[in-house]
Amino acid sequence: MKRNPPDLFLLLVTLTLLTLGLIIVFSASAPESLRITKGANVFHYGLRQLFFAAIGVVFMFIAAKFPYNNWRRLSPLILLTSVAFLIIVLFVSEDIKGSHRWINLGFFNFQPSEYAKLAIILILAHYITEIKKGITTLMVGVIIPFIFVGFICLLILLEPDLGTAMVIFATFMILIFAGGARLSHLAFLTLFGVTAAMVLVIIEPYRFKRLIAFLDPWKDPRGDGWQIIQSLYALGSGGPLGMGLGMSRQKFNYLPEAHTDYIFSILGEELGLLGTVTVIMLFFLLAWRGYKIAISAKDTYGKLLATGLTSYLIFQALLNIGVVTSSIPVTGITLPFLSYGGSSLMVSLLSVGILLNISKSCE
Amino acid sequence: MDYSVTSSKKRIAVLLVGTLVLLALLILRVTYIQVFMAGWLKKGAEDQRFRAVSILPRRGTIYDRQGFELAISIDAESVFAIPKEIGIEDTVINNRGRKVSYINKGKSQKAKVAQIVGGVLGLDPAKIEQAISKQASFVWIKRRATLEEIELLRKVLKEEKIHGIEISQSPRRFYPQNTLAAQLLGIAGIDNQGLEGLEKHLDSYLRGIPGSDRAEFDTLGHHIPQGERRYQPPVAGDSVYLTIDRNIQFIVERELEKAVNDTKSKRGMSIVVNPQTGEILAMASYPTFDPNKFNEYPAANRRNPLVSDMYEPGSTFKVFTAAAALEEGKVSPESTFFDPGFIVVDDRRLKCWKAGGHGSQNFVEALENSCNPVFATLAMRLTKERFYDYIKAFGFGTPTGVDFPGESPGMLKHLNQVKNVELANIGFGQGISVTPLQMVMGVSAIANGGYLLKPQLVKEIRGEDGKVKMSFKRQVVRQVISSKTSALMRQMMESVVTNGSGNKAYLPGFRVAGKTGTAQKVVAGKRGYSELIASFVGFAPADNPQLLAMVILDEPGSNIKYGGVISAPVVGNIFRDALRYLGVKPQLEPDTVAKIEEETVTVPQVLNQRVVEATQQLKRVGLDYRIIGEGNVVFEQVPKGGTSAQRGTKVLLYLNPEAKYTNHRTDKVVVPDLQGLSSAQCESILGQLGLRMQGSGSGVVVNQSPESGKLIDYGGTVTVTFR
Repeated sequence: MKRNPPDLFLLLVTLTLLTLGLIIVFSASAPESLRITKGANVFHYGLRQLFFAAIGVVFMFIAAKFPYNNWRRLSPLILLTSVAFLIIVLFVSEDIKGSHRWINLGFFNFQPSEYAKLAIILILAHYITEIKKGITTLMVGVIIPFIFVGFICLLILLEPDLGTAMVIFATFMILIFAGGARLSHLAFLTLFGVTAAMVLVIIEPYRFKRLIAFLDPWKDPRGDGWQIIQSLYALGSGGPLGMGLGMSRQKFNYLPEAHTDYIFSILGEELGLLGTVTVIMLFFLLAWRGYKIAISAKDTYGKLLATGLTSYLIFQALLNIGVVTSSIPVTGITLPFLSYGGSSLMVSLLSVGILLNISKSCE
Repeated sequence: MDYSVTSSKKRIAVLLVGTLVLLALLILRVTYIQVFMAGWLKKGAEDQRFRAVSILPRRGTIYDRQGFELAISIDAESVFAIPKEIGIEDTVINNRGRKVSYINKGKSQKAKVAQIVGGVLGLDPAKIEQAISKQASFVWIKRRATLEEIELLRKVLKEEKIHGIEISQSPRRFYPQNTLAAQLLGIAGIDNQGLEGLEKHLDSYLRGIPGSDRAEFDTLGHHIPQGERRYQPPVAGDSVYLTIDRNIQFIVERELEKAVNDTKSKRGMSIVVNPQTGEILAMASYPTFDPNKFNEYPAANRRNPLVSDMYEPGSTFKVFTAAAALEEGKVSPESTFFDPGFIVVDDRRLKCWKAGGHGSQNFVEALENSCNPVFATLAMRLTKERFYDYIKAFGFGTPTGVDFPGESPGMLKHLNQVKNVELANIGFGQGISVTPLQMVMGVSAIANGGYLLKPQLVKEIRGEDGKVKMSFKRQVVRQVISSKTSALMRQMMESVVTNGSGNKAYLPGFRVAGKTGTAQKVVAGKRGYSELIASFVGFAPADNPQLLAMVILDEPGSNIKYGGVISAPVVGNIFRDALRYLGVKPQLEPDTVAKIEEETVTVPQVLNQRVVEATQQLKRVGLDYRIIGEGNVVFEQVPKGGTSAQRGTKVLLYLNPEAKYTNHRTDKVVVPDLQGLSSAQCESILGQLGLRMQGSGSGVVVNQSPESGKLIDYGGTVTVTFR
């Protein structure tokens, strides 16, 4: 079997994003670090992120060495543990801002939904590879995987976490699309997804308010429009060249979730258009290398796995940047490699590790 | 497999292109936000985090012409003392065996206060002791103390029970002379805005320019660490130097208060001006108020009626009729008149104030007598058009333009309404309303050679650095009469004082000129003219007027209500002290000296003297006396020492120790007999006399130095030994 070196370009892009992310997390999280440590440690969140990044990089290198086809056998087990975690989290987690997303493991808060993303991709890639031509049939190609995915999404919606559910559902659609599903089936699924999203928005008053706020944030600048306005203020204050690293003002309590969901806005405030375009370009390069690996992967499983991993990372980036630039309604989604969050960072780096492994056996 | 793989590759390529398109759209979106919307968004962000704190500027000081502080601003975080209240609270067992607390204001207490305060504020205790021992109502201790010092001092003052040291934590206005010139100064509000009087009128100068401290704050109100701070320091207000002289103002207020109380008048008003320059040297109205606690006084006390209230001038107005008639050649001093006690004008009998009339008199005598029919005649000789020209030229009917808010223009009847009867009335000052200030400026024109001047209240405006920004010079509005007529009027008005109705303003050694007036007043709710206004306007020296003063007593309740009787002596008293203060030398003309020596004597100062000594002194100069009350020391005398009185006048000597006593700081004080008195009694008596006590021993006085009857300076010390 032909052995290529791993895709070093992808590694470089990933490490660049990771480094940039760490720098901005250190800056953006400083006020919140001071607040939570009562002034003792301005680097509280930054150091934690650095720690997760280190573990994530180790995961990445292990995954890069681990033959990707071995994931096929592991995937049912991973799926089962993932489902177990998703059920456990509903009962044991603390209520943080009205949702139950994290399991406290003492040294860090484990987020099962991040793990679930990976699990879904692994199992779907395996399933689609197994059914072969069955992908074109409604029952085997669409309905059966839909039931799996729907069940997982339902569990995540119970947390509730619409954003992650959307990412998983979208990744599912992309995978069966890449796997050769009929376009008519996909159109039907799209219709279903959109309807479901609309229903979910309408039945939950807070989601509906967010949607309305997106349309006109200045209607309620101190209420529902606050976050969007503050995000735009941050980006606008940055201008073309930014206020300088560490000089963000919006991170001082104005922009909630400055170091997590809205890290991109703080980056834009401190590094300006230069910084934001660089990040978008890096994600573009990530997409390019990821999909290139998918196209040139030597087997169907590798193709599907690479497509799934690339897609979910890119889809999250699109969603997150779309939200913070007020291009789409507010959805709570983190920006891969940049947002603070151990589970997300480690799973993202692990994903890149798998991609690197696939790239080694590309044709 | 082949089919599936090709299809897969295509579909993945579609995903890649889709991703590219979406990311490109995001780049456009970000560019739009960070370039095209950046300015607007940045401003929104700045507006929400920048907050400006306005810093009040220090309000300018108001000084008198000599630079005495009349209104000052006290900084935030400053410490000052009220010397007369300095003391330490102590307790003593009273004769019923109860513990009573009192404030011990002794010398050693002052030293202790100085020691403690100096220690806290890091100042020299000796200097503080010196400051708080001053005869002043207000002294600075430290103008800008730190918050720590203030906090500590507040604690220490409470613990040590120290009184008289005050802390100001917000800037405020303080009037160190309390009631002095209160209506003139007016009041300023807590936010540095002038509300009344000069504080209001000069607010644009006094106010200064507020500074600002612009800084960035987070949503919780904390400073953003790397945030900018834009500090714009405030610009302190300009200082204003008035034409008012604190000492003359003090003399005027003192005399006015006494006159109002003596005559039981509703109100008294007075203005003193320099008739040569138009500068107002004093302006007062009584009852008055203390602007430091203006809420405790009726609002009416805050008015300045001399500028804003009109009154019917009565006989004082005759000087304008006289001046106009002389200028127009309608009369000469030698012209003779016959007054049967009335004059018939258009079938109306206008009575003279003196029943039976003044009979045959020349024009000078007519003015001395203030004879109504003569001035009615002159007004008609002038014709109403010409007379009105003069009235207007003297400034009546138009505001003087003085730097004070709420000036009244007075009120003239419309010329069409003036028939002969009205014209005759105006000739002797009825049927016309004027302000006291207009009167004073009009008479100044008569006195100074004919020039109507703009009254000046502000002398200079100086910036914070002390540089003069604006200064106000003599300003002639117009010449109304010739200097010849003016000289004639001065002579005639002098003879009003020497020979006529104004003789109570007579001041030995000085040539005083003036004119009396007793006007009737319409009081709301009462029929017709029910109350009187007694006034006198005079100037001195008559040949070269340096001071011009007017005193108006409103609704006097005394038996005699004539201006010549009750207002003229007040002007005389003001002139006596003010001329002496200004250093104007008495002019003694040979013939008048002889006359003075023959008919009048100067009442000796016998206050604080033993009755025997006092009566002997009065007898020696040819005065009689009457003793009222019991005791052996004179506590009050009427008339006062230094005034002139006719030989044989009875001087009233009050012996009642409870009698009200007023002091003149410039006077010598006679040391009283303290033998057998207790320490408290001594302190009370000496305190009233303005003397200090230095005591030793305890019990009652057995020895004193200087001994009783000796003359010592006001403020001197009497050493007493108790046993």
